[in-house]
Amino acid sequence: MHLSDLSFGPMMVERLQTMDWPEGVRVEDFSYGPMAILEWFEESPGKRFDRAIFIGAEERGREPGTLSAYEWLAELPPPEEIQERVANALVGVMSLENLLFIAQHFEVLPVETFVVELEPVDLEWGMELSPLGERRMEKAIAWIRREVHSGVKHVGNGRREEVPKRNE
Amino acid sequence: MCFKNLPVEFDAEGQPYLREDVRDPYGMERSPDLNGGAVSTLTRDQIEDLLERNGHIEQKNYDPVTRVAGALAFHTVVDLEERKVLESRSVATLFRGYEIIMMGRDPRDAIYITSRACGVCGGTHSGTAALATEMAVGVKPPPMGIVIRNMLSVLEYLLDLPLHLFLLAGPDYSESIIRKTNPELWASAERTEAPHANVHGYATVGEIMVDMNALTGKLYLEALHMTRVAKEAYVLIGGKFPHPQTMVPGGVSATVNISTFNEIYLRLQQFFDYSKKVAAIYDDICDFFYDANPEYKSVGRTQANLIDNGVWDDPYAYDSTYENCNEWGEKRWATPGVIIDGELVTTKLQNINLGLEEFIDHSFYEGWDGQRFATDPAGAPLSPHHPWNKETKPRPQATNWREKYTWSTSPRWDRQAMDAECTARMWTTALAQLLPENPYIEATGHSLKLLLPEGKEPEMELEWHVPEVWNALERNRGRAYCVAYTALVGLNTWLQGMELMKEGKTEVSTKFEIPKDQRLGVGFWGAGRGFVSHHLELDGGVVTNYQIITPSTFNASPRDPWGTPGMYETAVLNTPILETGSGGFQGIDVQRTIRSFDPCMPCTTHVHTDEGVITREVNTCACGADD
Repeated sequence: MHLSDLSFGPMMVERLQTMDWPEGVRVEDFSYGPMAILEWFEESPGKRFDRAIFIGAEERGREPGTLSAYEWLAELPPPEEIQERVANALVGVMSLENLLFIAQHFEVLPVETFVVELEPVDLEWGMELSPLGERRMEKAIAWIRREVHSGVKHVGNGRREEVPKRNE
Repeated sequence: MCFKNLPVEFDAEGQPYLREDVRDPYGMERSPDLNGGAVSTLTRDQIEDLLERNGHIEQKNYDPVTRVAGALAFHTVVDLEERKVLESRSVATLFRGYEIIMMGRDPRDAIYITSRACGVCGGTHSGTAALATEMAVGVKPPPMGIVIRNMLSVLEYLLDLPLHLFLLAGPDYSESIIRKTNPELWASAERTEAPHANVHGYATVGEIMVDMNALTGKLYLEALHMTRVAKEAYVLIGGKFPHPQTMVPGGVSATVNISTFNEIYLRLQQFFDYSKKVAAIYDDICDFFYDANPEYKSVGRTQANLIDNGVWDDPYAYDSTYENCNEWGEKRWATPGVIIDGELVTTKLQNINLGLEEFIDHSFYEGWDGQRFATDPAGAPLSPHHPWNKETKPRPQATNWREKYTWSTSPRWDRQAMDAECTARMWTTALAQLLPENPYIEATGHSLKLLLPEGKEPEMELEWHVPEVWNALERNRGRAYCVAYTALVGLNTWLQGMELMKEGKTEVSTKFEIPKDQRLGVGFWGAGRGFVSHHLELDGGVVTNYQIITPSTFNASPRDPWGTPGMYETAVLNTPILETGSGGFQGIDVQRTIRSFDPCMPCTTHVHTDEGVITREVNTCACGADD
């Protein structure tokens, strides 16, 4: 929670947990090790979810502040890479992408899995998001609420960049 | 004789003193006596000449070394005709700033900040910081606090060891790797009956290797599950993992009751049967390799120079003081010690401490001037290179094999490179024969006998023997037996806790104040992987120096001021290239060697230099290259 924009996910979870959600929707803080999250999916009550939205910050070299939302593509890397990601996860690496690949490999991801990602602006230690990161969070929350409340079923599997743009 | 190279001797009462007849006693002019264990190295000019003149001599770099914790790169020059390694360099590619982050802080912050040094053994760092702080401030935890702390370490190791044996190093011995690198071995493994089939259930060595395959093998998946079992038990008292919330100087802040102990036992007992199986599997794997090709005894071979601080305190003996550290150290469930060329030369924590020096000649650091402490708190001589005298001064620069090439420092004991991995604790304990009375673990002077209780499998006595040769396979076999050893320490600890509970001695911590005068403290402890020490200095109520040495700081160290390589480097130089696969050079023998040390390297990186700030958060394990 002290990594400024890199804490985009955990900070958003805190806000989402204060909001009302339809029955059957769970807001969980997954800012810990991928293997433990895998176990959560395997054992959580009603573990078969229809849909999941993962939220986090990822440095991918995009314009800082870029907000991306996309459906997770079901193409696993080669087993050697999965093995390396599992090894990394076990020794403490926490990353959204690692989590998604590992969870997918062990077949615990819901059929519809979405990702909302912020390209972080501020990478220094800090309790607050950057001003741009803060604005992106508001947009992302609005998008997530629409997605959850709309009940729309998605069938696409392509990346959709800048989904919240319509509200800019 | 304890010290051969440092000018420290002992008076009639056993008190160490500095020899007066040695001019510049800690000078660097004299090359240390390495007991015949020196490995021959070529100069960089010779290497470059060979590379230029011979097509069959090639540079082979592993960057990163995979299936290890954190960022390790390894550089080799290999003669592909002679099948040998001509040059080896271990490179910790990232910097840890924990020692610098600790400066000027309240010492109580150390339990939380240094924990973040590692994504596996954070609890070890937290606990070692607590020990160092206790010594500095002068507080002794109540017995139950010590017992719970011991149990936390047991559980952390029970996570770490299977992780190494089946998820990180294990795949090196799997069917999918061996088929590729040594097809003749695979053919032999398929035909070779497994001697311990009655214990682990695999008829042939080939069947074991199939189940060691990454991601799909049953042993791989079972180990994944067992790490979870250990974690579940850990969080019952640690609150969370890998960074416990309940470790504090003066004990622990967890509330425990009979239910807590029962819940822990339910998980601990699963390791009794599991450890029988793990030891049997690694016995069969190691012996298969030796039988198939005796040259495997040279893979990862080094002189048996090992160091360990011991671990798991006697709840009635530990008083946190430096003055009594020899006494309470020798009462641990793992005896502190230093082994030189297979011989136990000390079991005293003070001697272990006096022999420590840390050099930076080939590391990305600047040296420091002066010597703040000429003696330890008991009046014994300290080197100017001792951690209490060291300052951490990072100086990022380009890699230069002739000069500086890594973020790891070169810790040495009595000026010799040491293997600080976890078999050391079984080895010192076996030789020292100082174990407390108990029904499960016996030190014979040449082995450890481990009596595992009945579970689904019948009661079974395992015996780990001090190995005749110290190499990659024996490091792994040692770790396999360490699962049983650790589980039995856990059982003894659990019984101690229940006894204290019955007596109503449930107090878990002691209050203390932070003093304002100058104090020194050291935490002597160990991770699942091996040796850990935290040295700190307090003044004005804040930390004025903090130094961490981990097993991988020792093992991954670069050459020292006298050109002696670190342990990874030496082990790789001694490794013959035995792979035979047709798919080009795989480097499996080198990789087996490096992984056998269970490397744990630096990751989360926040470097602050005079030139500016470099920040790169990768948030992973960091118990390797120091600082």
